[in-house]
Amino acid sequence: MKHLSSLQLCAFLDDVLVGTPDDGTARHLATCTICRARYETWCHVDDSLRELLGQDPDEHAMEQRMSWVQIVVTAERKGLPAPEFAVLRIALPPQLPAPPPVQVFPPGRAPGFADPAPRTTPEPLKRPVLNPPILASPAPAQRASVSSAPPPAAPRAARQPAQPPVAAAANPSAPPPGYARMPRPPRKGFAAFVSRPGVWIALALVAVLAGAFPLGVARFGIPVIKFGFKSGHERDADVKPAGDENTAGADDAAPARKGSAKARKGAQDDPDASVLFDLPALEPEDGEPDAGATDAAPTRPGKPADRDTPARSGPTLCGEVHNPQGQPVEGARVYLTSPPRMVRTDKSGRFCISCPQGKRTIRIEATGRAPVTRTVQMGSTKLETRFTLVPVN
Amino acid sequence: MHDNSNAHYSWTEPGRDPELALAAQRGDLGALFTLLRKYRRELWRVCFALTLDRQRAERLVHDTLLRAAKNLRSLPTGSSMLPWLVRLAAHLATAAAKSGTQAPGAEPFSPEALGTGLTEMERPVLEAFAALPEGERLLLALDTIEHISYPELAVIAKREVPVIMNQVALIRARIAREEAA
Repeated sequence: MKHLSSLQLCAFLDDVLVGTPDDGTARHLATCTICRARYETWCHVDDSLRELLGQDPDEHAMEQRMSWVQIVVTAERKGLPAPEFAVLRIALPPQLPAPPPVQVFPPGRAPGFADPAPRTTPEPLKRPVLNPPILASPAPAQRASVSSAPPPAAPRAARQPAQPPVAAAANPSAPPPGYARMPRPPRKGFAAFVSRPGVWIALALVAVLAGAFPLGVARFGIPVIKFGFKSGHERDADVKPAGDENTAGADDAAPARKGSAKARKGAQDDPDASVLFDLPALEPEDGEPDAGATDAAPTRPGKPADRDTPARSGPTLCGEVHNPQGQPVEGARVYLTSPPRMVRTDKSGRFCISCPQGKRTIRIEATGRAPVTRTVQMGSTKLETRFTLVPVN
Repeated sequence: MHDNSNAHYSWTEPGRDPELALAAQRGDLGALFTLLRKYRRELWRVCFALTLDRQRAERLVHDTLLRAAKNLRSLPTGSSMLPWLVRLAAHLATAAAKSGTQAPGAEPFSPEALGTGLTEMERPVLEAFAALPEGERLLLALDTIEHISYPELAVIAKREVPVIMNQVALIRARIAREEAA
């Protein structure tokens, strides 16, 4: 007996087999224990992933994120600076303690400042004691500078740090306190050139003009050298047959193949999915049984079919899904939690799903509409239900 | 049983998306926010499968919507916005994983980060799923959790339908093998 391949098993699991291949696969699974064990393992993987990852978002957090996006986009559209996300407050979850109330402290008196000492009246500033003989009669060598200095020389001398009069008297060659410093020698050469503010202003103007009028080698007719490197998806696009350009990937991936700079920008804007889904080619797996019946090849993919296998026979849950206006909702997903199953509604909004007896939870989801969950008590016969999906917005 | 063979492709059906996108490109902020709000749940589930962390998923949704609002002109004309948003989110998640910022692999993956109680049977499945690359993780999540049909997956991933079927089968077989090991 030949076993089912992974592709056949996957197609059967996704309900894309119809007719004879579907029946043949079901019959094989009913008889072959190895393939049935693989099928159950795959079902367990699917159920676990659906249970773990099929969560709904936190509506409060999502609304907050949407509000942030609106704030940022509105600010950018109006030419205002976009606010930083760090400034925007995140609402604390309920299990966290509330923040302490805000207290207003006088300037410099916040508890973080280390100023516990009480304020006292400051002592009066001690002015340096000037040397009366120096002020009265400066040295002859310094008289010229004193005479050329502006009149408020005495107050400036008062701001100088105090020099002990004893030291001044002991070292008569030292410059006496209270006199202005000697001016620095003027800068020369490149330092003088750089120190002029006009130079920097001119450099800034040149930079602005260079940015406004791009100057480059390409402007003067020198050809731009292009290197032969191409990214993975560009090489992939090159080896595609010509017919592929008109079908998949010709819409928003086309700018990414035109040039290097534009390709990089296009990759930022709309990524080429061939990079994301660049998976290894199909190859035989280790331990995988040989592919069996070729008549079980998948046909008409993407169109789930009715299945009347013994495992799914029994009572059925049927119903209609409508919007508030009473119009049928097509393509809504109808989930049965236990056992995990899913069907979609047809054009008239109807669905039927085989459902064992007992208390069952059913969930209806549709794009752009709020999901609805309902628990029904299944009997041994068919049960009719009716759902109304309300638009989210 | 009722025939469900005529179920339509909700993820790739344009609906009012081109009309809203055109209005948003002309400066209608209301149309832009209507468009961004429309698919936030689907986008969050995709981001959650990519990041395996609720906080990171919210952040990725935030970044994706911001990027989408800025680059709305690159939305293919006349097409649904959701596949484009999914590719954008996957691109951002992959770029973050490569740069090491906010990446799923930046910190050791912890199954407890999902916020749900894990059974001993579910833990190896989740760990095997977390070890997949972003593209494979996204493909399996769209197929298993969202029940996206193969033609829709082909449109989202820009691949042929047989290629998508082979890839999904490969990924499932790999996870089942690692889970069994």
